[in-house]
Amino acid sequence: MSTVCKAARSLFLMAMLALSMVACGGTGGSSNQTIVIGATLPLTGALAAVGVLLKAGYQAAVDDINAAGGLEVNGQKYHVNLVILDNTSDPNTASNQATTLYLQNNAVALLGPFTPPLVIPVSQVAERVKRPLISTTAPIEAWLSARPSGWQYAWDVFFDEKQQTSMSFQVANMVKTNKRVALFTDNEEDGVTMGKLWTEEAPQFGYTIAYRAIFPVGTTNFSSQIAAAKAANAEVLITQMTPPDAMALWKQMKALGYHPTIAESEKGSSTTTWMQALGNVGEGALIANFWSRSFNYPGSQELAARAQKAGIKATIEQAGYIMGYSITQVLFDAIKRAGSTDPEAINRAIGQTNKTYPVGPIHFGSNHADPVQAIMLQWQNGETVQVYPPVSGVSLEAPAKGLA
Amino acid sequence: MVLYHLIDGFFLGGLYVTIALGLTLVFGVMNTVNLAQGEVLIGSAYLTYTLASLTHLDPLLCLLLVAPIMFVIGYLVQRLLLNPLIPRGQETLLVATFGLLLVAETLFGLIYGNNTLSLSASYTLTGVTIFGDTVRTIYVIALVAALFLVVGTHLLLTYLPLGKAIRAAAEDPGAAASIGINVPLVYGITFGLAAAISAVGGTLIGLSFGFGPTTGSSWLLRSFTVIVLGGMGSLWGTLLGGLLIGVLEEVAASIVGPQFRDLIVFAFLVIVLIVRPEGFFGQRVGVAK
Amino acid sequence: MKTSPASAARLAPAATWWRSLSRLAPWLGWGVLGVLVLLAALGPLYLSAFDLVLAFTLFNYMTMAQSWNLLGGYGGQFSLGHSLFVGAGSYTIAVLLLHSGLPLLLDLVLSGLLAAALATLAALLLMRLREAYFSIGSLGLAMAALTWMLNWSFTGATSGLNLPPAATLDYSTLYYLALGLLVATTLTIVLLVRSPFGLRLMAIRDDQEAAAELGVNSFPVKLVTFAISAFFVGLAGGLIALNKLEIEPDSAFSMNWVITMIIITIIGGIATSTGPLLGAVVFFTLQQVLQNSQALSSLLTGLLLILIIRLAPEGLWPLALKLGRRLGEALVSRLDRSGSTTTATALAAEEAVRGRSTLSDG
Repeated sequence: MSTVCKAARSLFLMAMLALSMVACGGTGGSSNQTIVIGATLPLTGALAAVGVLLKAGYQAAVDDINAAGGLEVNGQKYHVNLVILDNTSDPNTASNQATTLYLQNNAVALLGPFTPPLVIPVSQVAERVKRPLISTTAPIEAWLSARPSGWQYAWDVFFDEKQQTSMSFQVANMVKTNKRVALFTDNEEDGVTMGKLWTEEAPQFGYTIAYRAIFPVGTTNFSSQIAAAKAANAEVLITQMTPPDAMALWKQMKALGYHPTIAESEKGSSTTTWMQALGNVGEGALIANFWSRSFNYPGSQELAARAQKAGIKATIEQAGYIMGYSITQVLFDAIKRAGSTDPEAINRAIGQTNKTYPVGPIHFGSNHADPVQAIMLQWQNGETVQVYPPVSGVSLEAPAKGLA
Repeated sequence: MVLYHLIDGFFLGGLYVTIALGLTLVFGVMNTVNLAQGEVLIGSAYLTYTLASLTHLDPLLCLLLVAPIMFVIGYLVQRLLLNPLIPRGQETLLVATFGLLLVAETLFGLIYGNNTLSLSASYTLTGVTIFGDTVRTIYVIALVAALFLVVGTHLLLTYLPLGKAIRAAAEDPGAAASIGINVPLVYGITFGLAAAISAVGGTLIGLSFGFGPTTGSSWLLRSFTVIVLGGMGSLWGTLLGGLLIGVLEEVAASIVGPQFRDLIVFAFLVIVLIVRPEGFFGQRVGVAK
Repeated sequence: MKTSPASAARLAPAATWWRSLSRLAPWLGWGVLGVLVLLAALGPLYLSAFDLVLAFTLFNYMTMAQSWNLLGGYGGQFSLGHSLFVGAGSYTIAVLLLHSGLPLLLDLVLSGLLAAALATLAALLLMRLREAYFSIGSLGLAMAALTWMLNWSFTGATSGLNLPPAATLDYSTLYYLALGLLVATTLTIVLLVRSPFGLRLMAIRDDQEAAAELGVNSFPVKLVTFAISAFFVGLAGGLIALNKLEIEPDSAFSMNWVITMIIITIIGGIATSTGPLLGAVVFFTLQQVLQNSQALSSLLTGLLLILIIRLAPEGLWPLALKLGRRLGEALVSRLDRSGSTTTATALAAEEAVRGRSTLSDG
């Protein structure tokens, strides 16, 4: 009997709490004059450095349209309400928050988070609730392979990995090396995909993978691998690893006296923390990107100047901002074209996108992906400059200065 | 090449000793598993970072101030939070130190942001040639520091009155109290000491690698492996355990591939626990409780 | 229970009232339980899709904390490795859906069973260990499993697995599955800990040597407890995968799962069957309200944990019970005094109340 008593009595408090929860649970929803779009971004945690750039880009585009009186849909002006949640770089949280934004905040569409581990779960939510999502920073092959049956509501604007990996060798061809490559990748999904592609492409460009290292994220000591790369006499170094790991690797290469001629640091050197943490050692590192100052698409220089004013100084960071701004505009244009706030109509209209935005021309294929042209940047004097395709006034620094 | 892995692992092992020593002391004396050990390390690294960027002094020199600060923080944590919980058993202490972990992690993020930081000094970018192979200078410094810390702690515990009090309190707090030892005070000092020792480990991590708000937990796991192997709570065991883990990691990674490095370390942790929970070397600083 | 009918007759009116109330309480509680279950069962009729998702997540938190509590609270085996079973459940259902063609519900049950099988293995390895050694050992196992999954190409290594779109369930189905699992878990655990088996379990927790002297063999008891605990966590893991449709090792085997289970149990009340439910509500509410400032959310969670362990280590639910009882007693004694009864009667009344409360406490 006491068992029963206790279990039953226990529930009284639960009931009170449940009631108070229902009472407190506010309803989001939108008024007639407001249209809600959302984003779940990594604003803290490991991926925060780029999360804040996308946030600034999304916000700037929304501020602009609201300053212009709102988004015009079918003759009526809507105020755009951008709701941004911080997913702390955690995929489970990103998935939950995407659901919240669609169902609780009633967002008609979402803008994407950052990198495949976050973009893919959010894309799955979009498919589940049948509302659109426009993402960037998810390399296309990796993103497409996550849903073999094809994406219906999720869209992606980013590099095609194949073009990006070929570029590594095209850049290496610009200087004289022994064409022996040391390839360092972590075992995250992009590391695995691209590691495979680099290995496949090397022979086509006449390069040999002389040493290959795969390791888990969070590896700290690389002495053995560096010694092996040195012993393999590899003059071309290609790495795809998270910023903390890449920084540890660079310091140790310097200490152990490994001097590659070409040193590419994908993912690792994608923000100015690279230079802050490494100082001169980081000089000369190469990284692929989709935008640089040499691009003259309408509005891109003005946006770069705005980003500069907002404290986003390096070209590579401004690129993230401009990309964020551009895909927000893609969404606005689609809503306008759809002539309604119906997610289905907006989704169809996104597919018809065909216009040049500040980041470049955007046009989706039938697989919902838009491959953007990859270019190669190099860290020179604390800034990233375009070295491939070659532009006037800038030349590729080799051997990599920081490690020389 | 095998020789190289041995040598590199040996010196890296020195670093592992400095990060695990604090955990050993706290477990050996207070029977407390400090889940916040990673945050003690990373917190010290942040402190050193702040001090070094303010004063432009060498990070290792900054330790002269950072270690005392960590001592005070550790002392206060033990006196105010952990001491009253000891009678309630080990689980309570796990939860409390776990709460500290959460709070510290968040505070690091709020104060310093989420980017990876690292401490810079000229000797982090140079190498030393040993038996024809190059080893990072900082690892050599770490091994020397490890030896100093272990020997120093041993001397303190063996010959100083404070050390004798610590050992007495570790062996039997009730008996220690009855012969006039202020056990809560001794516990406070012990945790403070552990935190000060960890300040060395944390600063070495900052110099050798990089650190962010959430880096602490991976170092906690490394420290666990070291002290489990050495026999939880054993001083000399920690020294041997650290060196052995360093060597094992490097050699094993070179045989089965670096992607399995963590798997090997964790599997080793579990196997040692199952086969020989008391570890392979030495005995505890004292048997608490 | 020492109040005779004669002494009861001499009680002051207020005390009589309080006594009859506490006699009624169980029935009141049952009434509330009935209403709650009915309300929950009809959920999809009046809840929005989003409320259903919220409830789904909350129910899973409750289930997982409840299961952890069976081993960690009642069993005294403070596991830091329960994330292993969430991941095992998630991956089992994904693999079965992709490769087996079995019906979904069967897949789900199998995901729980695999977790239980793994737990049995883990128990065989770890059960010799006590206290902190067990905690560290379980943590080591979970981390080893995570690093294995990061490298296992059969399950997609770091990219993980994507469930077939055909496995997409609507939110009300997911809601019912989670609710059903929660009810089943809670009932099983409530009945189990009050059975002779549960008494043996707690006897081992409190003093293994003494229990052994009384002829209780600790090993099978711990083994079964571990397996049951993992079974329900594995099922919850399966449900989580069904909702997320995409799983990869870092989030499926995330340390955050076991951290959440521990936080919820400690906040609500370890080794109580209502504690984990209450703790889940508190934790989840905190998480939802502070959705916009994650830093504040984890800071407050950490501080709450420290405060509770320092000031009320038994947790919120026992604290609430204690406060409620004190309040009742204070009320009774005040009313009695104003009704000019003797202190003796008030004391007797208090005694009666306390006797009653301690009986239904524990």
